[in-house]
Amino acid sequence: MADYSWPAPGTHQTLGRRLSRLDGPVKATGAAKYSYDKALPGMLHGKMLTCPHAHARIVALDVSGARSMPGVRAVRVIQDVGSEIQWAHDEIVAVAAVSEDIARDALRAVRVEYEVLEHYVIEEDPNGTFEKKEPQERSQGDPDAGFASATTVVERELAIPQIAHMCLEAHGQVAEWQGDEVTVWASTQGVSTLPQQFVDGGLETKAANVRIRCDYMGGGFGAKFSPDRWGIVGAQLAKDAGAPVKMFLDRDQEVAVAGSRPSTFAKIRAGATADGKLVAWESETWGSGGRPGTGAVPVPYVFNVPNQRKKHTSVPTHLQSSRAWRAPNHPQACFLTMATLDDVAAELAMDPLDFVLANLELTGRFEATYREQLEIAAERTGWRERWRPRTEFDDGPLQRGLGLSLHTWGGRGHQSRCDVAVNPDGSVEARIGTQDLGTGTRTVIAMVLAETFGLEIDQVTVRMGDSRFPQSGPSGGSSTVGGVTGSTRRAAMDALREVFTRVAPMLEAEPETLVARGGRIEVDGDSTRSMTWQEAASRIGAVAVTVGGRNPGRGKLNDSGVGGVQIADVTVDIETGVTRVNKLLAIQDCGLVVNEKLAESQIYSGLIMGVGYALFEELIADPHSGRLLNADMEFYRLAGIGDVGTLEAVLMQGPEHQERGVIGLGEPPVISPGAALSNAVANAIGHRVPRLPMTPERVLETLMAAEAAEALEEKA
Amino acid sequence: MRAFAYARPTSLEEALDVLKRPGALPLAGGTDLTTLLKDEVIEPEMLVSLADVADLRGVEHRGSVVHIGAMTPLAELIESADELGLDAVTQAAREIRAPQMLSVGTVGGELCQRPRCWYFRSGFGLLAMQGGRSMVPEGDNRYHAILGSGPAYFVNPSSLAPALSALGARVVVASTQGERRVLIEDLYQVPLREDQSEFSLADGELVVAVEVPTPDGPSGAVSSSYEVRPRTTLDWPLATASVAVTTDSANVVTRAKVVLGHVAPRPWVDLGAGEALVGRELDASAAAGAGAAAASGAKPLSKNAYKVRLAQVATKRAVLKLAAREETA
Ligand SMILES: Cc1cc2nc3c(=O)[nH]c(=O)nc-3n(C[C@H](O)[C@H](O)[C@H](O)COP(=O)(O)OP(=O)(O)OC[C@H]3O[C@@H](n4cnc5c(N)ncnc54)[C@H](O)[C@@H]3O)c2cc1C
Repeated sequence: MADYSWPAPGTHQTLGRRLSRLDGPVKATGAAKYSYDKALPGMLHGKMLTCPHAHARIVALDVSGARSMPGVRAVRVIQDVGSEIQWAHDEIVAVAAVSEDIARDALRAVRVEYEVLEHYVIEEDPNGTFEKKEPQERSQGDPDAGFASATTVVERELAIPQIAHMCLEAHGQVAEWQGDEVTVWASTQGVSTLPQQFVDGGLETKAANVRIRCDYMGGGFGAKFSPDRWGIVGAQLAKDAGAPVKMFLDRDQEVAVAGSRPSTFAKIRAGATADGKLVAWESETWGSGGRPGTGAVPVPYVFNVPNQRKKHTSVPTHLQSSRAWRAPNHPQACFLTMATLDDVAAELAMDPLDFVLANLELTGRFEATYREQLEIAAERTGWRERWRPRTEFDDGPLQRGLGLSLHTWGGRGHQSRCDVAVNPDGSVEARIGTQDLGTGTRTVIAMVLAETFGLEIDQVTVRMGDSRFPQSGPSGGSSTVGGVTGSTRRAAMDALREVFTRVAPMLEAEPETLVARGGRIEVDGDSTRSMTWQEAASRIGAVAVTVGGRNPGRGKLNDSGVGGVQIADVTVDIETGVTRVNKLLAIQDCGLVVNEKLAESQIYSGLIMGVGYALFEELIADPHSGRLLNADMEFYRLAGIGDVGTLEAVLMQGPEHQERGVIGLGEPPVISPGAALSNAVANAIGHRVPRLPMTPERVLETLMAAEAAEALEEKA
Repeated sequence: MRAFAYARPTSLEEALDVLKRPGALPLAGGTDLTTLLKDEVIEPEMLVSLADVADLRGVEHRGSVVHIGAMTPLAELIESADELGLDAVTQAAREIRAPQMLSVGTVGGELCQRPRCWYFRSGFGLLAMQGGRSMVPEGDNRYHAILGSGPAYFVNPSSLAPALSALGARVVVASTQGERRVLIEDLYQVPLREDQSEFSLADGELVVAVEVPTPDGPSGAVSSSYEVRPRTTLDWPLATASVAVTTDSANVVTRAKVVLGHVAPRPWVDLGAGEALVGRELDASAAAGAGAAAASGAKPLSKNAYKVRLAQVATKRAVLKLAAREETA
């Protein structure tokens, strides 16, 4: 039986190199065509009328004005009279017209009458909800005894709001029919899974007739796993009209219906003994992911406190259903936990680094990893020299602070299939039904081919982003890199063995003794018996050698489970409340690093998104209208390049990591920034800003409340 | 966006003539106007592009004033204001941190841009009235007014207006009826009813220029602006203060004008803060005094008490900038 493995540590030809992504130049020049850019001859423009109310029933609907409008080619009612609408911007009617303007005019000609119903959108007060859910309770150990043994108990109320995915490329697709078959250029995280979902979603055809394409993708972050209503109706309109239809969401729709991360509000108590050992945790949490509410986040995070009591209540609101957001539930849990622990350390007058080290045995499997990472992190930031207690300040309004956080993630490779073909002219090609979300998947697959065949990366071709290729899983859970490298490596190794078998007689060697290296095939240990790759390929016959590979499969090519440590360094202006990030440092393990540069890019992007939700991002709903007030890029603030400070990524490498095989990295780096930045701000200003994002107003409110409390104390 | 007629006159006279038509609006750089159209916040019958009216563009000395044409791009304004020592203006305009905005946006458009109040931009009107009540006091008012007595709670969005106002600038307003001049702060009014405008312009009137007293003239002043902004990228300030002072030979303030931005529906001329500066030397203590006096009488809404402090800090820091300038001079 064939054996599958990565080359031994130290023998890599391509893996681990700092190669630039293959699609960098076409993206930078604009030559790369995203699904959003697709323009087909005769293409119509689709638009959807959405509901202005957060909760309403449709009592009358008349689309005749739209149907009779010149230039309108198809009209579909998505939700008809009698439907109950559960959030603002829910889709009611879709039209396809010869221009975007006519499509919008047509929507204005639609008459809808709503019976407006009561809504509830501010989950901060959970008692206001229209649908009380039973709280889930869990406990472990003996929480009462735990708290009784604690000498220090900290109580905190913390909150982290609903935020958006804010993909730069909006959700949507272009659909074109040819007879019974439809091709959909989608902005998607799952080219292989979408065909069946289109059928399940109501598209009147067979999955075999649905072809999904996605060459380049402008961000998904967990929000783009399904065809969605606009996908189905867009394809239906195209069928009705007999012409391709482009249907992408406008930005306000995108924000209101195409993805959010659930909120969590928490009342937390945590207890520790005088020597700094965490002994007890109690939390009451609630939160919302819109209409379905939301489940509990995994607190206490990373640290398995021996005695725990937890209660969580899901709070439905009249807002869109949340979607997976990069590392679902982890950033919330991480913030709630690490902020509380940091406050316990402050209460104990302990350096939080020492406090974390004192409790590291509670982290389980990754204890050693964390210990090593903490050492690196402390050294890189000069923590031991620079950290000072919250009670010490600089002169003047600018206060500097350091904050620390830990996180964990899985990242095992998903199911994936890949075909690798070696052509007689020496060209090598992979065909795989995966997608490149902008993470570098295309480049990583090419590197596995190059490594296996001993070629340079520009000598191989990767074909992907098409559901006609062998199926590969959707890109979620940081599962893609492990999945596609696994299937590609297995296929490539088998294809290479096939080539070896055919050329071995010419080199008067056994196939098992051959290796592919530096563009040649040679007998291992005897480079005098060798031939160029080209020559070898020309001997395989008239037909390409094509081999399929899959993941999971034999041999250890990927693994799951990582730890990470991050440190934030901030300066807060205590007069204006404005926080500036000086530096964010991330120490991360992820097994075998396929491409160091791309891996660092993943970390940078996680840190940038992290600064966003730590300092700026928040969906703001209006209590009266039930509508979002900042469904735009103006008051839904994203971090700009000048706002993120210096970003530093340190990847844990070396044989012990490489031997684990490939582990996903997309998600872990985004988990800790909220907590690390919150802790840094607390360290700078002497008080916990209880809510993310830490906007100037929140920082000032925290300081003003502290001043008021001090004034009261002085009086007493 | 709905269909509209479009005119592109080549002379001011012609422009004023078309602007007389009901439902006609001037189009300058279009950076705000196109957003308003796309969001269907406004539905003008006609847009009158000022791009080809050459007379409206440029900065020049005219006697004791600097004359700034309404169609002068913000980038050009920054260059001229910097040369002319209109520091409050330079500093405020530089904070609009997008090269695109600075090269396309114009002085007239910046002064006449509409409020960014999210209720207004969501189509609820300037006063955000629903069933006879404003949605703002019980809604999300974190960025709304802390000064003024309602019923309007939006804040004036202009960065230039407080700076120009501090310097005593006037706008030149023209229509087919002729020209008039008004102080910058009086270009704005507080609408009391939903059908009223936040500008004191009559139908068909156009801002053609701004006139700023020259700093080196008899009424010349030194000036500065300070803005509190959440991000370094293109964003909106949370509060701003512009200060202009004249001092005597002993560095004692003889006249001072402090104007706050983003705290009220109009640029807020803060008399108290100005008075606190008069008779004092420009130093840290005077700055602190002006800061403490600023925004007095503020009535914050449920979510914006923090703005009172920001207006005070902005005032203090604007004065501190002047003090630092005196020191290095
Ligand atoms: C994210 C973001 C952040 C921003 N931050 C700031 C900021 O911090 N500070 C700031 O000041 N601005 C800011 N801006 C706004 C920007 O400065 C304005 O959009 C721009 O200055 C408007 O100029 P314009 O020439 O494009 O005006 P237009 O869009 O053409 O016109 C704006 C309005 O003024 C009217 N108008 C134009 N010219 C005249 C005239 N001569 N007489 C009478 N009425 C006229 C128009 O009819 C229209 O109603 C920001 C914008 C964005 C999107």
